[in-house]
Amino acid sequence: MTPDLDLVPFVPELVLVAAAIVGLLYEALARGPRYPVHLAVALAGIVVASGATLALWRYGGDPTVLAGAIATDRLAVLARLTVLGAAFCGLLLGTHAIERDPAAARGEFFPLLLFATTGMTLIVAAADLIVVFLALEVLSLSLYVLTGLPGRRAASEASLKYFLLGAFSSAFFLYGVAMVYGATGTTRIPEIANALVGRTGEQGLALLAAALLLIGLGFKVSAAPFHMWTPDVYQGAPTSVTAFMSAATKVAAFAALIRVFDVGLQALRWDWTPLVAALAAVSVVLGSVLAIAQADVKRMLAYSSVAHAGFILTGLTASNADGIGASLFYLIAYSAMTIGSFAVVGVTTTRGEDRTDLDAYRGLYRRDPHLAAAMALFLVSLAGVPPTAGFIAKVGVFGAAIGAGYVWLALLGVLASVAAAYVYLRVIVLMFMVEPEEALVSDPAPLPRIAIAIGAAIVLVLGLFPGLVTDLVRSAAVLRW
Amino acid sequence: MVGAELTSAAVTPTLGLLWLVPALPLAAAAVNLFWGRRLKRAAGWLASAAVGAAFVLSALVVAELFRLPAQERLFVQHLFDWIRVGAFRVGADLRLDALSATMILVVTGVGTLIHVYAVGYMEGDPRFGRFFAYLNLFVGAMLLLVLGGNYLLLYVGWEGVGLCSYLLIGFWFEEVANANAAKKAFVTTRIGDTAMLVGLAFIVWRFGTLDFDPVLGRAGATLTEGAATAIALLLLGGAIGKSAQVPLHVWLPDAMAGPTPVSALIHAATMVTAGVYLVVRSAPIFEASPVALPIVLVVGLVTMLYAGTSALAQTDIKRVLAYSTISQLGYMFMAAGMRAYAAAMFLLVAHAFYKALLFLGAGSVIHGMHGEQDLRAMGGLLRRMPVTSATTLVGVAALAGVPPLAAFFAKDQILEIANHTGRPLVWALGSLGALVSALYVGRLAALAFLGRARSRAAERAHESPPTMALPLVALAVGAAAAGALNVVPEGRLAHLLEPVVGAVPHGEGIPAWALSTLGGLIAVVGLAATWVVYASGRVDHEMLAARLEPIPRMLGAGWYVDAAYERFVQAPTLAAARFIAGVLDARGVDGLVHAIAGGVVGIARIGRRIQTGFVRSYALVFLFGAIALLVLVGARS
Repeated sequence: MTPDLDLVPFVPELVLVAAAIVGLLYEALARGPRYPVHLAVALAGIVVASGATLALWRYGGDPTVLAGAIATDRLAVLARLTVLGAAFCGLLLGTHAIERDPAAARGEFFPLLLFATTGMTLIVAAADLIVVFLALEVLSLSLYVLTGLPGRRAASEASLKYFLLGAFSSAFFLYGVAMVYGATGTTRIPEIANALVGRTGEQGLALLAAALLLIGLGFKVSAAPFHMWTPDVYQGAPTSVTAFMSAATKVAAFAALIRVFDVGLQALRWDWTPLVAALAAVSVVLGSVLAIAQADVKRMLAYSSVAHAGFILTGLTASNADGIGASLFYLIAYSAMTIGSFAVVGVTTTRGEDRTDLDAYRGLYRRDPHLAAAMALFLVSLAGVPPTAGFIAKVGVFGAAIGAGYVWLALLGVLASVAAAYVYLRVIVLMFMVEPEEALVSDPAPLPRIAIAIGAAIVLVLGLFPGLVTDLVRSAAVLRW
Repeated sequence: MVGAELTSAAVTPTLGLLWLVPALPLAAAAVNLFWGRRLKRAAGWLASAAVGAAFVLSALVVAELFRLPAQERLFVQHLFDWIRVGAFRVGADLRLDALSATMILVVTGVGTLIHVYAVGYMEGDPRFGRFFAYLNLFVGAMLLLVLGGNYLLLYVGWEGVGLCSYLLIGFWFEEVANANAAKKAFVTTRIGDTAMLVGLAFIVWRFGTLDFDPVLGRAGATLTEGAATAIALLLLGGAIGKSAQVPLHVWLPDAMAGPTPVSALIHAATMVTAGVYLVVRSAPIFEASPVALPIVLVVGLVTMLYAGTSALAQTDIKRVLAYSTISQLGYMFMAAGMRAYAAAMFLLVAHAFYKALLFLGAGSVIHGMHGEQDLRAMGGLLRRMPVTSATTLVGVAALAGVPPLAAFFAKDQILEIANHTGRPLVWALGSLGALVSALYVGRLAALAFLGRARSRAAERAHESPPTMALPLVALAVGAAAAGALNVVPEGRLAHLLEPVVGAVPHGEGIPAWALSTLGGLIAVVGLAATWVVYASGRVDHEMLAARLEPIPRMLGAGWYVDAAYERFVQAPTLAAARFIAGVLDARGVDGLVHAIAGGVVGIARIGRRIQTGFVRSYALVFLFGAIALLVLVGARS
């Protein structure tokens, strides 16, 4: 069989890689202050890639192209767009961080971020487990380096931990791929699905594969108990990188998880949904409870990220268009709130130095009312209070879980949300009801504030008018293969 | 029959602009909220321009609508799906028909004039931009309320105007009394709003939708009498709160703590009419119940007489007008209770003109007298503030019902319908109410503008700036001419509204010309009587009042309803709240919560200890997790 060479569904990745290579060459050859050019190149790459992705919404060709490697469905389009949006905001934040702290600045930030983005946009469209694995490594390796880029001790330590544990989890994933091949004789996700449909009797090998794949991807989405790296890495990494990866990695890994499990392993869904439910329950409870004991905002948000991974998994227990749609909506909403809140963390500083302990938020409202209002909005949304996107998202995933018979999981999620509300409300109380102790000055830089405004707008619009994206999410939740 | 089958018109370029009508004031509100301080005086002009543009657009859109044949005068603009949960959907739909058309013209028309007036009135206020942001937000919310194509959108606007009312009553919150008045308004209307929300839940339960068309079109067929009564009374609860009807009227007189343009716009011309609009809009539900409309009639009648008599003894010029507003709203409820929806809407429009005029005139007086609001300190202002006095006197005559001004027609038609539909008692009490309103408004005019000045402030009063005087003139023209809209009960306005609200009820009784003559006479006699007592100098009215005690004191205190509420509702509620908060909550609920919270924190501390920072222990946890998952798989297969 000759591979068909329809490259159109692959254009976003080509554009991103091209922009990354231009950035690398420029970094090697140019002299003097280079960041405006870097930023322009990278932003251009992302905007063009987004345009190419948008054009794919109405793609009418085969479900997969390039010898079954790339899927062309709307799940890939919507997840790519979310990742690209996160990358856009991450670039703004990163550029600002470089301007503020030239000593720790590296021009490689821009191409590395683009490579990571490429891995993510590739993984959400990957229709072959080998491509999934490749994309996973591309994004992971880039993220390891991005985490340690400033060269400070905390960053290097976080980078190394991330790398070691990441390698550990990749091994599980790869082992899962091998098991799938053993069970079905193929690594192409649609063919796996066909091979498993209608098969009766012993499914042990395929089930083992499902568990191993879930472990590998569960690590990437920070699902407990595979979440241990998350607080350390989120805290140690530069805040701009944390903002980017907390949103984009989750979207990418969840999209891959949806494709692998809801397409490839669809026939086994009665067997793997309990596993997903177990991970969801542990993540929701551990993430919510452990967030309470944190005194550092970045660690607190990291545990919150674990809990939110659990909520998204809750939606996926439904394993139907309802559940996938609810989870996609959740991912979009979560991306906006997590990037926004980390962006606020990035500018709540003393002169040039990051302050991430909770005390830095005392009386923020007095110092900078707009910043405090935006942070309050993100926190309220993370807590899941109307009229924010977080509320609609939670309603969606709980509804899907109840529809699939997981009433206990939805109940647990609601209880955990109540406990976690304390975490977020505590920061709001600090910001609005406590007088500032010291003369902290928040950073007036414009670039992060653009990212904050984008996040706040999405959180509010999706909270007030969820109907605007319902159709998009629904059509993306219908998987085509 | 109400709610005859209307077919929705196709979108045309002009009709397609409908969404801009609420969007323009809302956008201006956002601009003023963020940049109001920087815009300085321009904030006021921006706000006025936004509402003015909304008025022009409304006029264009409504003109386009009325160019269609009568049975096609309905335009629903679907903006987007707002909420979709399973089969239940709520769209962001705007609905333009004769009823909402009337409302948007009143809201934006009167609103524009009041905005312009406020530019002069609020001059020099430190929160000038903020004020106009709230005012614009209010207009936007009110437009949403009347344009909403379903009950949920209506409710959003309903709560929006409630919020703005709270913010604006307490706008000068530095004074505790103002903040308390704002709180009182919010809490009192909340009681009604809660009833209304329960009513909406009932509608969803019975109809599975909140859209007007299916609910109102099938109300008679779907609802049992009991269900219709329940829903209608719950909706009426909301209307009573918002329109300050007895027994939830107590907030409106206190709401006069807000700046006077607010009193004019919100507490006279627009927001308080939302209750009337709700009843008229929901008429099919009310008609499906055997008792709902009679209850509306009784509520209106009681309110009309109660508030009218209370207005007789007020000394604060704005409180006279506040009670007058309540009384006039009572008239509108009476009309709706007799199925005379067109008459209710006609009085609503006419009232918007002359009451806005009276309030703005009162505001101009207060402005000219540097904050004095006591009628006893005024007098003889006709000479010192000629424009204000002349225009306000037009408003006075219009409210009293002097022919051929607005209320002469509007009030007269309600009384005529009462008489002709076999309700002689309603007609007699209504005529008595008309006399009372001529008396209280005549007393206001005589005390403020005629006679001699009774204080230094009154001697030194000065005319207001043109931004305040011009809207007065415009409103005076409106108050004088609004009667032309509907000179007989089956007049032009009634005809336009007929496809939405149904035909005007009619029957036999005392001939219409005799009723009209009587109505005109009542107005003229009432005004003349007040002139004799208060302005001619022939009667010592203070002595007269002293001899009538304790009646004036009782009326002045609003029949002691406030005091009774404080004693029998507020005090027991507070005591109960104190018991619950201090004993039950602190020891019981909080104790439990603290215990749980302590437990959670304890678990969190232990969990934190596992997070050692060593990669090896992380890998170990990972491994345990993986083994657990694999065991789970093994156990299942």
